[in-house]
Amino acid sequence: MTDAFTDALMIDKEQVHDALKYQSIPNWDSISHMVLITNIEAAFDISLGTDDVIAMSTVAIAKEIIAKHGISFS
Amino acid sequence: MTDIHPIALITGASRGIGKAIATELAAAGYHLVLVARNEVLLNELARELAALHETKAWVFSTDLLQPDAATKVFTFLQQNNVQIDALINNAGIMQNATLMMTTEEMIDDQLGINLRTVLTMSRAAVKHFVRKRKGCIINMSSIVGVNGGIGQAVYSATKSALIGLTHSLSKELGPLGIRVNAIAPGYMMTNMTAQYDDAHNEKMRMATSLRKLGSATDVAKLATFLCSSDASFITGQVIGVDGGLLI
Repeated sequence: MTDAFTDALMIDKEQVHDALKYQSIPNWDSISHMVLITNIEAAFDISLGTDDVIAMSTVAIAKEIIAKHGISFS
Repeated sequence: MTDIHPIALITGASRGIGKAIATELAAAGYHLVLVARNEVLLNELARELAALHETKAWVFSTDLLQPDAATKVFTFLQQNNVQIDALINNAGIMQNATLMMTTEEMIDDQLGINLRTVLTMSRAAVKHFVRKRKGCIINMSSIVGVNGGIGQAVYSATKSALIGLTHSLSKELGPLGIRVNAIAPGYMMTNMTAQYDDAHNEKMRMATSLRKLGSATDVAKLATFLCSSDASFITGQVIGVDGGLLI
């Protein structure tokens, strides 16, 4: 999960926290969001629908969306 | 699948320009995903290309007017572990009528096939391309999308929309290595223009600088070039294949 964010947004893992929000930093823009979505799909072998792509606006919400696919974060 | 055999998805692949593009891409070494309504024609084409070029082709028959058609196509690809390298948004319908004679159904059908499907197919394909940081989308516009045509208000509106879409998507997806271009065919001798008589064809031939009418293969050769690495610095373009037709 963290790797999906660090790779897509090109940020350090320390910067990935639940409150991190879409467009709150220059690196999480509409372009890197597309990369993030494909990274998450590849990492968890899931397919995200358009509603999820739009809704995924924070790290915390990303976890919630991924959890809907039966994946838990400890 | 390696780049030795890149994979192209073609909508409206069963006949006309779509079939010609499939044939040219197969000759260039592509494997293909063939999408159209007519499964019989798609299977015939797949067999033909397999025999000629050892092309692997996945056939998916669907009515692209259905709102979930793109989802079905890309679910099929996921189930078959197919990652495409190029999307050719070729499927289209032309229903000529003056605006006053245009029914709601004609508006819905042409907007649905010619524009909505292009949006939904492109949206789904982008995920494939983003993973690779590479990809190619070709949208089949038309000369009437540039110049308009009497009795073609809806058709030309959809084809103009594809030009706007091409320009926007090329800007949006360029940073991810994805190229988006449009082809604007002129008057081509295809099933779409089969409705016209010889007198009309002759009139169109004389309106063309080269004094000849185009074929589906003329368009297919450009599509094949745009998919290739030779076109790696070409994006956001609308390229006419019209023999210099003035309308």
